Amino acid sequence: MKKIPISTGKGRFSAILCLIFFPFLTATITASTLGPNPFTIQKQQTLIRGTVTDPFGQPLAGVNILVQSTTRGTISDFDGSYSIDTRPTDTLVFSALGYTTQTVPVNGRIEINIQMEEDVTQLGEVVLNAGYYSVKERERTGNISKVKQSEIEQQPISNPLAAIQGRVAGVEITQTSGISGAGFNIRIRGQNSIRSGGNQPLYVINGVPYSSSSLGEEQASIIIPGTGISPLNNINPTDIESIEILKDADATAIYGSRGANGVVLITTKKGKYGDTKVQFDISSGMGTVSNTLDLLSTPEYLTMRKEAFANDGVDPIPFYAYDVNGTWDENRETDWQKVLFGKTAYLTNIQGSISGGSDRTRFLVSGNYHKQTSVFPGDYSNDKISALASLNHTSKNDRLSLQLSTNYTNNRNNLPGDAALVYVALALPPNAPELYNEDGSLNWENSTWTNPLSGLETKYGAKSTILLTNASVGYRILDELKLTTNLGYTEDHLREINTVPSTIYDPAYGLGAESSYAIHNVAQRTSWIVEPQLHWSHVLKNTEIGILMGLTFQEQKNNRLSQLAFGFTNNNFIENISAASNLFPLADIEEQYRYQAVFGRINLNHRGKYILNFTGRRDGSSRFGPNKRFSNFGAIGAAWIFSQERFIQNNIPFVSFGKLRASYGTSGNDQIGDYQYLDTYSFGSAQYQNTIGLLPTRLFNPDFSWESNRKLEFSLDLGLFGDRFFLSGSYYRNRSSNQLVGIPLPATTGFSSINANLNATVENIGWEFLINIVNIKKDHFEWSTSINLTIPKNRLITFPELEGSTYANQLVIGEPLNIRKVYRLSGVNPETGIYEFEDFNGDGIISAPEDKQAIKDLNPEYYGGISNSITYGKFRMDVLFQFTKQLGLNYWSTSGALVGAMTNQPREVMDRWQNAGDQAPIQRFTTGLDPEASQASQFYAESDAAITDASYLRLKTLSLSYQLSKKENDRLGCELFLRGQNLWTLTNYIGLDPETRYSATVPPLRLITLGTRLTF
Amino acid sequence: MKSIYLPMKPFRKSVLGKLLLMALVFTSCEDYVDVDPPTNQLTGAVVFEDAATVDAAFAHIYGQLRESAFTTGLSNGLSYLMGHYTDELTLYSANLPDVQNYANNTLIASDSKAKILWDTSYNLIYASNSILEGVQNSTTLSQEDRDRFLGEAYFVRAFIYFHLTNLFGPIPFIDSTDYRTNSEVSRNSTEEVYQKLIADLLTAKSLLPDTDGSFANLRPNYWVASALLARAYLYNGDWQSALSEATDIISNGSYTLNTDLAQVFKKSSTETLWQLGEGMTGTNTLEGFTFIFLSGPPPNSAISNHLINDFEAGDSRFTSWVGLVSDGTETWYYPYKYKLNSPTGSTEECSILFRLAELYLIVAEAQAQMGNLTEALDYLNGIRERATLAPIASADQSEVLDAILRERRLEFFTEQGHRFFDLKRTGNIDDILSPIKPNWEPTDGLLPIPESELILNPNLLPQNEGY
Repeated sequence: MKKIPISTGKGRFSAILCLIFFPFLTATITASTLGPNPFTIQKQQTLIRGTVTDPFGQPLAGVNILVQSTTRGTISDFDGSYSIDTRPTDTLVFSALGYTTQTVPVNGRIEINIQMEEDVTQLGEVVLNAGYYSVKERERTGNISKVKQSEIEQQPISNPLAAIQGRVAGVEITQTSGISGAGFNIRIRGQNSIRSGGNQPLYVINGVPYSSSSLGEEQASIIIPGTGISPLNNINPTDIESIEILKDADATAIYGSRGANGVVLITTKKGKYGDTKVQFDISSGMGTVSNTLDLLSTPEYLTMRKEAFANDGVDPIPFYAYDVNGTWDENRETDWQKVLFGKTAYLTNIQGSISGGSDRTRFLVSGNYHKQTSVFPGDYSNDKISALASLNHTSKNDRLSLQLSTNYTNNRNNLPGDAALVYVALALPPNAPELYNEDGSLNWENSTWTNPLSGLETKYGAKSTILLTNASVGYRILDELKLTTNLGYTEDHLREINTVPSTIYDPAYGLGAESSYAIHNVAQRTSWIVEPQLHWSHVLKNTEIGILMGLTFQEQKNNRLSQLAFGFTNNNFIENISAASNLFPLADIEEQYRYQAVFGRINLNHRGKYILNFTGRRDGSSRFGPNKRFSNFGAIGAAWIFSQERFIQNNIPFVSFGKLRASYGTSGNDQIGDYQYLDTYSFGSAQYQNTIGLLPTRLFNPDFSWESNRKLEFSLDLGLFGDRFFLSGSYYRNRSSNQLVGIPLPATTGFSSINANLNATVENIGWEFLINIVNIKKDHFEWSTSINLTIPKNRLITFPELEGSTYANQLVIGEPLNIRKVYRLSGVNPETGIYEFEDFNGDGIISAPEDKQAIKDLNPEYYGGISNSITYGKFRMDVLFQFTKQLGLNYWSTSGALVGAMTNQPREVMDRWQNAGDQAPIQRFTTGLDPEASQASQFYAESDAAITDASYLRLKTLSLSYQLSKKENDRLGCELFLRGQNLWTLTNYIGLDPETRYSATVPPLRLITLGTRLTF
Repeated sequence: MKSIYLPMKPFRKSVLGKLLLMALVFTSCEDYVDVDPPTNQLTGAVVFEDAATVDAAFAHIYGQLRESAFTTGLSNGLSYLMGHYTDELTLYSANLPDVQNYANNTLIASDSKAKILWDTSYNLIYASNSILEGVQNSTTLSQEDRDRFLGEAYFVRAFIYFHLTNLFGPIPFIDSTDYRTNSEVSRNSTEEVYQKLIADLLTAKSLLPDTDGSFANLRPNYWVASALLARAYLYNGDWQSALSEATDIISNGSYTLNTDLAQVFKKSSTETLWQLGEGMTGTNTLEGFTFIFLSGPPPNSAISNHLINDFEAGDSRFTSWVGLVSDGTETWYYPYKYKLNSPTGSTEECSILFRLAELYLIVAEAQAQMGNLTEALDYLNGIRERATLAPIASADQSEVLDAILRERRLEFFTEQGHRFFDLKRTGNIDDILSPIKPNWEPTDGLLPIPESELILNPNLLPQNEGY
C-alpha cells in the first residue's frame, strides 16, 4: 500500500497524530524563534476564508483543508466554513471521505468557496436515489447501483442505456443494432418471465414512470429490429445526473407490481449552488461499423458455384444462374458490405448550459443538439434537439421546498425502409452487376437481379417529441414530519412514415405510381401521476426511525392511428396522404391504463450499526380482470455495519468499512399490455366489399392475474485501508412464479398464443462482485480501477405437465429458459460429403422434434466490465472494457447454410469436402438441386453448428481529456476530449457482431469523437 | 375519484391515525382502476347482436382469403406455389429460397410457406367456428340473416378443410373454439374429413340463398356450396353425386359460359360463381401483380416450357390467357388470365375461386367415368369449342379421361393449384412429375405438417412420410 494521506483517514487518527507531534512542533517553533525572525517571511501570509458545500449545495463539515506540501491544515466547520493562513502562491487541497480531492491554487484570493464532488471509489456520504426516498450508500439495506454523470458523459452515445453497459453488475445490456433509434435489450438479474416480452424493468424519470414500449407501427419501422423505435432514445444522456438501478427485493418492493424486473431510476441534472456557470460542450466525430465479414472473392465464389453445379450433376449451367453462366461479368468484384452499409457516419453534439443559484434557489437550463448520419448509402440522419430546465427552491424557514423540472426532446430519424439491406449485402454474389446505368438510373441488368439500391427507394422517417415534466412540493409540517407531493406529466408523440414507391420494383413488372404506397403512423401517449407522501423521522434514544407512507394515482393513455395510403398519380406525392387514391386504416387504437397504490417504508437505524428496512405496497392495476386487480407486495431488508463494532475496530484496524446485508421480499410484473383479460374482436387490416374485417383477436381467458417474484439476497461490503480497496459481493436468488405467459398454441386453435397464468417457477441465481481500487492517489497522479463481474444462472424449476404442454419441446426443467433444442452435428460424412446429424431416437431418419435434442444455452455464463480511470496532472483517461462469455446464434442461423447457392459466403466455406475420403468441416457445395445435401444444409442451420461461441471482450469506451485551464483559476475553463466507443473487439464469433448476435442488421458502430468543453 | 386532501386538524393526533386515514381514503377509491373498454375492440358477444358486425366478421375471412391464405394471388397462395411445385411455372429469381424449395421439391418439415398455409387456414377455421357459435347463440338476428351466416360459415369451413386435406392428408377437423381441446387434437383420416366437410356443405346448401342479392358473386351462395360439393364428390370418385350437383348448377343456375375468353376473368364475367371482392376501390387481383412482367428475363417466374408445349396449335387460350415477352432472341411467357397488375379507377378484375367451366369438366369427367362417353364429350367439347379447338371424338374411355385431364390443365393453369390436385387424385402425379422434376419423390404428394405444430402438439405425430 501507498502512503495513506491524512485526508482520507479518520478525523480521530489525525487528532491522535496532532497530539503526538504537538510537542515537537512547538519545540521547532520555539527553536526557530531564536534564529532570524521567521515572521518577516510569513508577513505575506493572508487569512483565507470560504465555505465548503456538498454537490447539492449544502454546507459540508469535516473537510480537510491542507496547504499543499506543508503540514498546515484545518477542518471545515459544521456550517462548512473554514479559514486558513496561506501565501498567495500556495495551493489548497480539499479532501473528505466520499468526495474527490480538489487542489485549488490560491492565486491571491482571500475567499475560496468550494463545492465538493462525489467520489465513486469511496463510500462515505454518497447518497443514492431509491425512488421514494434517498439513502446513504453506507446505510443502504437494498441493492442499488449508481452510474454517475461523469461516467455517462464519457461516451458518445444517444441512448441512456448504453451508458450502463458494462458498468453495473447484474445488469445485462445488449445493443440490438447499430441503426440509430434501435433499442437496447436490458435484463436486470436475468430473465424472470417465460414471456420474452415481459422482462423489461420499470423506468422512472425524475419520479415519473416512463413507458419504454414503442409507439411505433411495426410495419413501418421494419428496418429496426425488435418492436420499433425505442422511446428511451428521446432521453438525452448528457442531461442525466445519475442513473440508479434497483435490483433486490428491499429496493424494488416499494414499486410493487412493477418492480419484478428491477427499476431504472433516471435523474436529470439540477442547478448547483455557486456562481452562475455557463458551459459549452462541442464535439464531433465519426463512426463506421465495428465489423464486416470476410466473404469470398469473385474467383473463390465462382469456384464454389461451378463446383456446386458439378456436384449436383447439372450440366450445362442453367439459364437462371446468371452469375456463372456468362450473363454477368466474371471479372467484376464488389465489396457489397462496403457499398451497402460501409459509409462513415458523422456525429455532432453541441450542448450548452447555464446553471447556478443561491443556497435557497438553484436553476439549470440546458440545450442539446445531436446529429448522427447513417452508414447506409444516401442521405440519412438522426437529429435530436433537447432542452432541460430545472428549478429548486427552499423557503427561508426551511419548511417549504419546491422542485420543478422539464425535459423536451425533438427527435427526427431518417432511415432507409428496407430491412433486408444488410442481409443482401452479405448474400449478393461479388460479381453482381453495376448499381447504376450510365444515365444514372438504377441498373436492373435485364431483370437478372434485384438491384439492392431499390431497397433505398423506400424510406422510413420518424419524428418524435417528448415532454417530461415533474414537480415535487414538500412542506415540513412539524420538525419531524414532512408532506411531499410528486406530480408528473409526460407526453410522448411519434409520427412515422414509411414510403414504398413503385420504383422499388423491377421495371420489368411495369408498375407505376398507382402501386406505390405509404404507411403513416401517428401516435401519442400521455401519462400523469400524483403521489402524495408523508415522511416522518424521529430519534428514539439511539435509534433513528424513518417512516414513509404514500399513495399513487397514475393514468396512461395511448392512442395511435396508422394508415396505409395507396395508389398515387405520381411518386413525388407519396408522402402526401391526400394524394393517395385510397386510404386504409391499419390501426386505430386507444388504450387506457390506470394504476393506483398505497406504499410505505419503515426504516430503523440503531447506532448506525444495525439497520432494518421494511417496505410494502398494495397495488391495483386496470390490466387485470375485475376480481384480480389488487395485490400486496413487501420486503424486509437488514444490514449490520460491523466495522462500527469496537471489537472489529480494535482487532482488524485495516478494515475501514464492513457491512453484511440481507433482504427478502416480493414484487410483481404487470407487463402484459392493456385489456388482455377481455375476449375481443378487433378491426383488422383486410377490407372486403367496403367493410373492414372484424377478427377475433383474443381467446377468452377467465383466469388472469399477477406474476409474482420472490427475491432473496445476501451481500457483503468490505472497505480496506481507508476504503482504498473496496469489495462488494452479492448472492441473489429470484424466483418468479404464477408466470403470465403467452402460452404458445398450436395453430389448430386459431391463435399462436394465449395469455394465461401458468404455475411454473423460474429461478435466477447469481453472484455479483464489485471491486474498486484506488491504485495510486497522489496530488498529480491518480489511478483507480473498478471491476464488476456477474455470474448468473437461470433455470426453470417447476412446470406442471411440461411434457404434455405446448412448451414440451422448448423448455426443459432444470435448464435455462433461453435454450434452443437443436440437431447435433456429427460432421461431414467422408464418403458422401454431406453433413450428418445424431439420430437421437435411432429411427434412421433425422426429423424434428425427436432428433432436436442437443440443448444449447444462450444465456451468458458470466459478464462484466473493467474500468480504469487515470488522472495525471491535467490529463484524464477513462477506459472501459466490457466482456461476456456466452454462446450465440451465428451467421449460419440467420442466412441458412446452403453453401453453393447464388449467395456469397464467409471464406471459411472453402474448407469444404471435395473428394471421397476428405475430412472437412463444410459439406460439399450444392446449388440446392441435390435434395440430400440441400436438406442437410437446412438441418445444419438448425443444429448446434449454428450456435457457437459468442464471447467477447470489447473496448467499449475510451475517453481522454486534457484540462487546458480551469474556471476557478483562469475564469475560463477549457477541456479538450477525445472519446471512443466500441473501438476494439476480441471474439471468435462467426457473424457480424457477438453483441447483437444477429447477422442481418448493422453491427454497433465504432465511434470516435473529438470535442471541447468550455466553462465560464 | 375521491379527494385525497387531508384536513389539517388530524395532524395533531398520532401519526398512525393519519396513516390509517390515508388507507381509508385509498380503499374508497378502488373503483379508480375501472377503465373504459377499448374503442377499437368489441367483446365477443356484442359482435353477434347485429348483422352488420357479423358481416364485418365475414369480411375478415374473405379479406384474408384474398390477401394471405392459400387462395391468395401472392407468393403464399396455391396458384403460385403449387405452380412451381408441379410443372406449370419456372422460377427465375435467385432471391427466393423458400420458393426454390417448392420448385425443386426439396421441402423440409420447417418449411415456412407450408406453415403459413396451415396457420392461416386454421386461423380462418377458428373465425368460422366462432361465427357459428356466436350466431347460434344470438337472439337478435333475423332468421334470414341467421341462415345465411350459418350457411356461409359452414361453407367456408368446408372450403378450407377441402384444401387442407388435399395438401396435408389426414388433418384435425376442428369444429369448436375451445383452445384447450383444440391444442391437443389428433388428426382425422382423410375419409373422416371428407365425410364431415360434405355434411357441412349439405347443411350450407340447405341454408344458403340461391340468389346473390346485392353481393354479386362476392359471397358464397347455394350454387357455390353445390359446386364445391361437386368437386368433393369428384375427388372421391362419387361420380353420380358429382354429376347431379354439376348438372344442377349448369341447368338451373344463372351462370353462362363467356364466349369471349377475354371476359372470363373480368369482374363482370357471367360464368363466375364466386370471386373474392377487392379491398380498396380500384385494386385488381394479386395474381396480376405476381405473374405479369413486361421485359425479360423474368424477374420472378414464367410459365414453364412443359405447359407451353402442351397447348395445341390454335388454342385461343394461349393467345388470350398467356402473356409473352421477348428480348429478340428469347421468349418468355406468363399467366395472363388477369390482365391488370396495378389499380385502376374502379376494380375490373377479382380473384375467381369457382367458375362454370369447372362444372362442365366435372360433368364430362363423371360421365366418362360412368361410361357415358357421348355425354362426356359434349361437355368437354363445349369447353374446347370456346377455345376455338376442334371437338374430340373418341370411343375409348381412358382416351376421353386423358383428354379431360389435359383440358383441365389448359383451362385451369395457375388457378388455385388445380394441376396439383388433379394429378394427385388421378394417380398420375409420380408418372408425370418424376421424369421432369429430378427431386420428385412419391411422398411429395403431401406437404409436411409444420414442425412447429408437431412440437406444440405431439398428438399430431407422426409427420407425413418423407419429411
